[in-house]
Amino acid sequence: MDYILEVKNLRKEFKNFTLDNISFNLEPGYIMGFIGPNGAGKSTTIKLIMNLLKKDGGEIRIFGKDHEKYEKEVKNRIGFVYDENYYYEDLTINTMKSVVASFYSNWDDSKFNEYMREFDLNPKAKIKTLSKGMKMKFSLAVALSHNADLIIMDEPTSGLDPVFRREILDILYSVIQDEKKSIFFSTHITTDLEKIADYITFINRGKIVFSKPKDDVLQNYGIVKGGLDILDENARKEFIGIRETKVGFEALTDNMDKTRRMFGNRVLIERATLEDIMVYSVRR
Amino acid sequence: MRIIISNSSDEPIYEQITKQIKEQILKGELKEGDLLPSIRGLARDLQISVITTKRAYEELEREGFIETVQGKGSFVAGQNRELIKEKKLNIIEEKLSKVVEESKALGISFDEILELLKILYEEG
Amino acid sequence: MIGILKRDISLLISSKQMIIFMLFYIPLLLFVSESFVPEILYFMILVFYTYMMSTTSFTYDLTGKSKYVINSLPINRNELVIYKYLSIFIYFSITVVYAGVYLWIINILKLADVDYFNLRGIMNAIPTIMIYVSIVFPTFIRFEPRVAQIINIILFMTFFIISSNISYTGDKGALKYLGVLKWEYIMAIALVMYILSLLLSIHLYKNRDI
Repeated sequence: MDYILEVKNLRKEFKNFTLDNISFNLEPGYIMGFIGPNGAGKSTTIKLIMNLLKKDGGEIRIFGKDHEKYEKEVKNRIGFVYDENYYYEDLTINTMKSVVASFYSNWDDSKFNEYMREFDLNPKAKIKTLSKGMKMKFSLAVALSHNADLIIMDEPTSGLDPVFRREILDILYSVIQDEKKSIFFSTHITTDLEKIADYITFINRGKIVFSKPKDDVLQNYGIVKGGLDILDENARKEFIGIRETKVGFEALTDNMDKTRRMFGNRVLIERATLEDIMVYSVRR
Repeated sequence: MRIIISNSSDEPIYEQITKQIKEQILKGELKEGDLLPSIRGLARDLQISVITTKRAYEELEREGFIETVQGKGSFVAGQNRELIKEKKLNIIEEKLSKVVEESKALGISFDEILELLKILYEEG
Repeated sequence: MIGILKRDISLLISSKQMIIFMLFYIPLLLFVSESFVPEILYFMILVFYTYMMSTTSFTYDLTGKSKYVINSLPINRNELVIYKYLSIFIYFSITVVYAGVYLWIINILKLADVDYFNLRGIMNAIPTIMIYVSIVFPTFIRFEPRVAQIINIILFMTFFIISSNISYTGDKGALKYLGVLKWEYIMAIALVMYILSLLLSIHLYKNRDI
């Protein structure tokens, strides 16, 4: 299996936080959503992949090559979009573009201009005059204009309205029509991923909770609701993130079938959304 | 070709897809040799995961409804008459076995079912 | 590396602060320094301007949100450091031309009597900048921006005080001693420091978390 992105036992220690044993893989042609609450380690993981932070342990291979040894080669084929556009505010779009373009060997100016037209951006505008959404679109245009095979996005849609986010999703769908390209997309706005993602990797407090096909996740995780009388020792072991009230309990199960078999009609089981999964998993 | 997906149905999406395509093939709406949308194109149109559409197509291929040619796409497979008949019967058999199961649970006899069938057939 | 140069020049041109500095610092120095020997003034302008341009460009890659951009582009960390060290010569050349023209105009307009091109000034400035940079660059890489900035300011103040002192005593005192040291020795020391610093910086930057 030739993975486009392979992370194995990644480790990074900070004073108050440790990222530990992070492992997941992404094949060409698919979109992986990377979810987790704020502070879980999403941005850190991405910075480690991009070698902005130095890892303390583990292996990262991109396009089959070690991401540090072949850093330049690998980054030439990666398009990146970060939260809070980090571009230089005083420059115009055109100047910024020509600076960035000179680093990439496969820069495609006509494609970039196409995106400028599609996104309705003025190439002569100074970056500081752009709204958050426009900055994001500009980032995306740059990321998609050098024939990158892997697009890495760190919370690109936070702070953007739903209309905008849907537009971005459409663009991502277009990108993925090429089965050699992949997208790795971290977000805490899980509704975006429920449609488009092929795989979901869930990180919490520096550890990977799961990394699975989205369909599997959505088919197996469910919200269980029932009366407090059901909650004995055995029952508690079956559920995640139990929330008890005076009138009953709510919890997450990672195996709807098993729960159905165990409790039958005594509980109500509904499909869980990615947001539910995140919320219940994070609850102590 | 028409595929409509319900996100709120209990039925897995890939199953909804295979079902609808199967029906259209068996009804003749999709003819032998017709080109199906690509896996990725379909995923995009339906705004679902590529893995889902892939799974649907794989199942359709396994059951002989479609054929995939590397580099060209997926086509409605040639269906010989007997196979078609058999597949159609399979669909009905599946539905009927559910009817039988429920009738037994509700205590309805075989003769009563037969009566019902007769009436329904004559109505429709 | 041309890419980074492009970026730095673009940023220099579009930064209002930089432009203000470029335009007004020379007249400011002139105003403040009536008793400065013209040669020393020229020397100070060369050093200070070059220094300002190199350290400003440094900050883009180590501080603020934009530091993530350059390091995410296909570029070797080594390349980035080497570029930084080499770029001082480019900035130096720019400064020589710029200061030359500026001061020449001032001379023509008889606003003051200044040196607009002084070979000895240039020859003294080069090793000075090299030594300066050898100390400052690794501190930028190794320490937190705030700490590095403090070190930077201290160093700069020291330099400023020393050179103005030299200037004030005119031909006497320290200047005489400096004249005793052969330029070749100073240049050799500067070169050694420069190269060692480059190697140190490469090593430091390689392992740094951006």
